[in-house]
Amino acid sequence: MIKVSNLHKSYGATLALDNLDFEIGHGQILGLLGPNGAGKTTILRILTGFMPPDGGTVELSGRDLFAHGRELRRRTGYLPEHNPNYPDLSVRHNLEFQGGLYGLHGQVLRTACARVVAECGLTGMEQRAVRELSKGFRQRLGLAQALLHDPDIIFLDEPTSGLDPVNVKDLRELIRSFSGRKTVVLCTHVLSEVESTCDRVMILNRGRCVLEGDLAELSRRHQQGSALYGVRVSLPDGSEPAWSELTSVRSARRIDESPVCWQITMDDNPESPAQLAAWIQEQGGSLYELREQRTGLEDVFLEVIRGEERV
Amino acid sequence: MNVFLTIFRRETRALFLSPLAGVVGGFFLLLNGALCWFNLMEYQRFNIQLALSYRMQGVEPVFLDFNEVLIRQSLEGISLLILGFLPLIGMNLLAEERRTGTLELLMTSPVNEGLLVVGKWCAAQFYVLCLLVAAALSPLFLGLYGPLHWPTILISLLGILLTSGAFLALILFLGSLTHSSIIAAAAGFALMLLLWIVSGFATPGARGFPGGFLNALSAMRHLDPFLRGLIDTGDITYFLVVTVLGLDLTRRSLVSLRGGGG
Repeated sequence: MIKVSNLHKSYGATLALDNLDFEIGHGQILGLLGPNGAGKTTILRILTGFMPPDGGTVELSGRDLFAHGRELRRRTGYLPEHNPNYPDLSVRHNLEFQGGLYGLHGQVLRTACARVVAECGLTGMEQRAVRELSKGFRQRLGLAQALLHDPDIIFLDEPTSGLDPVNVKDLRELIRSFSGRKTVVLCTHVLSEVESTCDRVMILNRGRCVLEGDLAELSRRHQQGSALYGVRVSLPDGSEPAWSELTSVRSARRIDESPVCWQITMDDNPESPAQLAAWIQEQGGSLYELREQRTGLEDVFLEVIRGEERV
Repeated sequence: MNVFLTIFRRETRALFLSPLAGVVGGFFLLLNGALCWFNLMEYQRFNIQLALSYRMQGVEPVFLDFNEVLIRQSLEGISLLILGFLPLIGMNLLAEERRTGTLELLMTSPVNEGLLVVGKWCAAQFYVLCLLVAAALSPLFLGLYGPLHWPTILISLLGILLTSGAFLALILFLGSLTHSSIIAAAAGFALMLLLWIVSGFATPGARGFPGGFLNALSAMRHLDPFLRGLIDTGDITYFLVVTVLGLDLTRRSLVSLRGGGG
């Protein structure tokens, strides 16, 4: 559905995108993650045809974006980062204006407006001027504008920024409901948003893709034959366990006190937990808790970005 | 056509409902009314002086021509006022879209850049036309004092509308280059002033380069025949060329934002 090859872009001396390649299939939801200045918004601006790249190609549905821009823009919806809309117009007039730009009019436009008003929770707000709306409703309006012409591909830049938890939950459920039907590229800082809405994730740093894959695969790849355990333990003399004595332990870090809680990375071996429990018993210590932990996206993200910074 | 109407309606609504448009329209009509009143008073005072002077000489008094002097002065006043207010009318058409980010919505839609530019320009021209019609009520009101020469009035209004169209196209182009409405208005005003006074650097009636060129470039020189009730195809061509040039430069400026893509 979306194929990006060798995309690069600079702002003066600053490299924003560095020969980026990726593909997204139909119906997939891709989360673009990265620290500030990683190039996330630049990618969206290029994919929506707002900004030209310095080089590379972008294909949407097998057609070159820069050769068939107008035709392809008809099939994409976009919620920009700061969600611009016309504050002097009402919700209905903003939607009608947006629909008009996409060639919708008459009954088709009215039906489309009614659909997105219901879908985005704007019922009862149609006559209100945008300047009178809360941030949450403005964000809903931005999303409604992006969905109005029923696009195949949707680009969302920080869609939940500034929303309260209830709005965030509703919006994530709406985005999640697109899975399998529409191709979505979601750009965000919020890791939990990607975990709850996306099928795949791409982590960017300094304009480069440093990690890409589906969430479960990334977690497995990050663990690399290791398993993560949370252990609450205390030794009789109050000393710290000498974890290095256990050959299956790869690393350990203390994350809590009384009783001391450790996060242990061990070989991904079914016998590892039993060995750990037996070793603590040998030391005369008490084991309060031992549970396997899943490597979260946050661990993967931090590890990757810190690794990049070390390099 | 539907896309054009969508843009035209949105811009017209913004122009008529924005507080700035209200202030611009209000001040324009106030100044125009004051100018008309001042012209009428001056016309009366001058005619009384003239009558007294003729009476002292024992000659039958001849008064200043009503249309040639009073109505023409009023129409010249309208033309100067409307040109003075044009930068304020045109400054927000694109610069504001850039500043607030709504240009991103427009440019990521399938809308044709040319249609976008023409839609905005037509809406601004429509606003100017409404101001002109309202302002023209003052000289028409002066018709109570004498017979109006309608062809001159209508040709004058056509000339003012052509001039505003040309200048609005240039201001639209300048607005497409900046995020700041103030910069767009200031640059627009400077460019208009330059085109207005450029013939001042040349000898009247000069031919060739640079005198003839500067005279040909002057908007004032091309508007003046309209205010005298004369239609010259050369003058119409001048305003149409400047208008098309301004609109096409604006379109190109928007296309270049996308890197020339379609």
